[in-house]
Amino acid sequence: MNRVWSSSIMQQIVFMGPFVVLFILITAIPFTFGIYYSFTDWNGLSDKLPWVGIDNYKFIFTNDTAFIHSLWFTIRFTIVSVILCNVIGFIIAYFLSKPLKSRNVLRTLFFMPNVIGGIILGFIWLFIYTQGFSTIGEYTGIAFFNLPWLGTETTAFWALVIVFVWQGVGYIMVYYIAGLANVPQDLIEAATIDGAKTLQILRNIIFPMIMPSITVCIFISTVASFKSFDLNYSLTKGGPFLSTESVAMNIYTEAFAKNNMGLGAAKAIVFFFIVMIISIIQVYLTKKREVQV
Amino acid sequence: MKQIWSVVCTVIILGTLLSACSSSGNQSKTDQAANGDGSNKQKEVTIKVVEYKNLEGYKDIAREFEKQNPGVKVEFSYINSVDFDPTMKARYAAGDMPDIFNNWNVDVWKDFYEDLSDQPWVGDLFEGTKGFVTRDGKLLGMPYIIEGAGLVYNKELFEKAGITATPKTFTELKAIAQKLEDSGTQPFVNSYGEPLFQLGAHFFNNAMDRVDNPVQFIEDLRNGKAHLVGNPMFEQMLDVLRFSAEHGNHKDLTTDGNTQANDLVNGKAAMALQGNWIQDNVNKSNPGLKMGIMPYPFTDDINLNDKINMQIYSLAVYNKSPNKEIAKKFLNFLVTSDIGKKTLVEVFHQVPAMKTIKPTEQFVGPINMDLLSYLEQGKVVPVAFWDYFPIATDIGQVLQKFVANKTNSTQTLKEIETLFKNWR
Repeated sequence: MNRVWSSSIMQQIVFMGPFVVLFILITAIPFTFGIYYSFTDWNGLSDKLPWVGIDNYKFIFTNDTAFIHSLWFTIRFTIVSVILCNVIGFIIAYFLSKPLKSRNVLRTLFFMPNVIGGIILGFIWLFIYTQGFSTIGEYTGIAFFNLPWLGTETTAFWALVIVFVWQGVGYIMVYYIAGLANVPQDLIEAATIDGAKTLQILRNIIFPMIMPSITVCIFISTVASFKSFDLNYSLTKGGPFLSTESVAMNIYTEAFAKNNMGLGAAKAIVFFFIVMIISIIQVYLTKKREVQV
Repeated sequence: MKQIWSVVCTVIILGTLLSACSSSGNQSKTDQAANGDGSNKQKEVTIKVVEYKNLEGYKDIAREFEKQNPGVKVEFSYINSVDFDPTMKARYAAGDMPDIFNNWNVDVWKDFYEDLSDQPWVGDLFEGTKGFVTRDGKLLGMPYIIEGAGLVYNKELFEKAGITATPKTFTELKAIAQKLEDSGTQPFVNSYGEPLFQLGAHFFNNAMDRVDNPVQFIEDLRNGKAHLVGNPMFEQMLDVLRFSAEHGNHKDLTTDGNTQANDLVNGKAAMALQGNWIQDNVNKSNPGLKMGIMPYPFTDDINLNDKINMQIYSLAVYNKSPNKEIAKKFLNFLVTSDIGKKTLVEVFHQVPAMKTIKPTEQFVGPINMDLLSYLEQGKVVPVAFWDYFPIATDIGQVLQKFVANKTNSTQTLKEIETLFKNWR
């Protein structure tokens, strides 16, 4: 009895307890409150919480074009930035796992943007897009720099993608480097002796071997770009004409600027289920392709 | 032995967590207990003031107030106006409400303001300044500074182009824009990259605050009883918007308010939809520049045009604050003490909302003197954007689409009508 007590339950309390308490306080309780608020017409401040049933959810799916539009933007943004982040991240990781002299310096440089917070990055790039690019454009006359980068829907979309990928690629790269380091060298050597080309090695050995990294990287970048808020907030403020408003921003303005906490909570719940379903499908699909040596 | 250690660890960890959670609650209770009896002057009382204008010089007033009231400390902090409402809500949720803060979104916050109708400064206020903070017959804030929004213009560039009188109608505005362009000056600089303040609030407000009863009109718009399509005033507003974009800076959709203010103050353009607060930029980067403010002439009806949009900067007292009596005393000190009056004019360079404080051009600058003359003639109209503030950003985004030539004026007005109908 004494042994059971000390070995399992006590250990779980010691190691899991603090986390469970924090999780309940910081995530579970607010989440439950959020579900409750989503059925009310609360303005975020008053003492009254008028119950409105599923009116908020009805409104989201019938009248709220801005929310649907921001969801569509977020999906497009996620697809593009997940592909770019992972492709570029893998290419960088592939070359930086070769024995290069400067590889430690380069790894640090690629990872650096990730250390800076999104809000600050947004302001830095706001300056680059509005002042830096136009000054370069004035002196060189290159059309790329003379575009109104944050002024039209298409360029603003790509402006966000560029900054997001630039920021996220370093993180993804670290995962891929770790994955590549775990690929057994003897497999690659054997394949080389058998006369396999680089592309064949990539496709038949490296990709199957780093599939766990790919699962994690796609998952991380999908969730990060789905929830993207700070970049949009500081770089474009959702403009021009709400074309780059992410769902997280839409929820924030609804709940805090328009004082519709209830509707904002309902949107957040809808958003939660969308992200959850997409993540589950993605993890299920990529997990299936993982192999064991 | 091992079990004992793990038990001790668990207790310590859980104990720390729980105590961390409850410490802020205890703190505020002891604070209240200390200040509740009022007579206990040994305890230090801190009055927290939160504002959306970064006014330098408050410190001098605060030091003087602290000297006269031993045991009281006054602490200022500043929140950018765009973040004001969300930040205040976060502070309310955290139990960290300041004692004095700006009136912002009065209808949402009205249950949090102390009624100030019995204060000694009430009689000194300019006519029409109380409306902004009056709800159900209660005065929920102290109007402190009067701001005017309109077309701010560079008098020197106007002289250079041979313009002697300010335009009073849209037709005259077109004529002077032509004259300015002939003299090699860009007529407008616009910051249409700012959906909230430039477009949604101030530009749209030009038409909104001139309808007969803005509050009723907005109510009707929300119920679908009133319409913007076919309303000549709103159609003319869009004409003027298009005109200003055509005769303004390129890339106006990526220009922000600071760039606009700098371009205007440095003479890169002659006019901008701005307010008297731009005098600060003049004082900082081009002191002595002669500027003025006029109402935006957006129709051909002089009586309708010739009013400056008046905005009130006011301070409220938090009605559940334990120190609210001292907070009221401080507000009174701001507008009646010599140092308060002097700082308001000579350091803040503002137009006071009290008739008892007289600004002079030497300190407040020419834009504010223009504003004061409109005020004294009664040619002012209170801004209406507070009545639709929650959707002002959305309106601005719709107007951006119009500026970018993606929609025509009927589509734009229809989209704005939909915004009002869907606003809940």
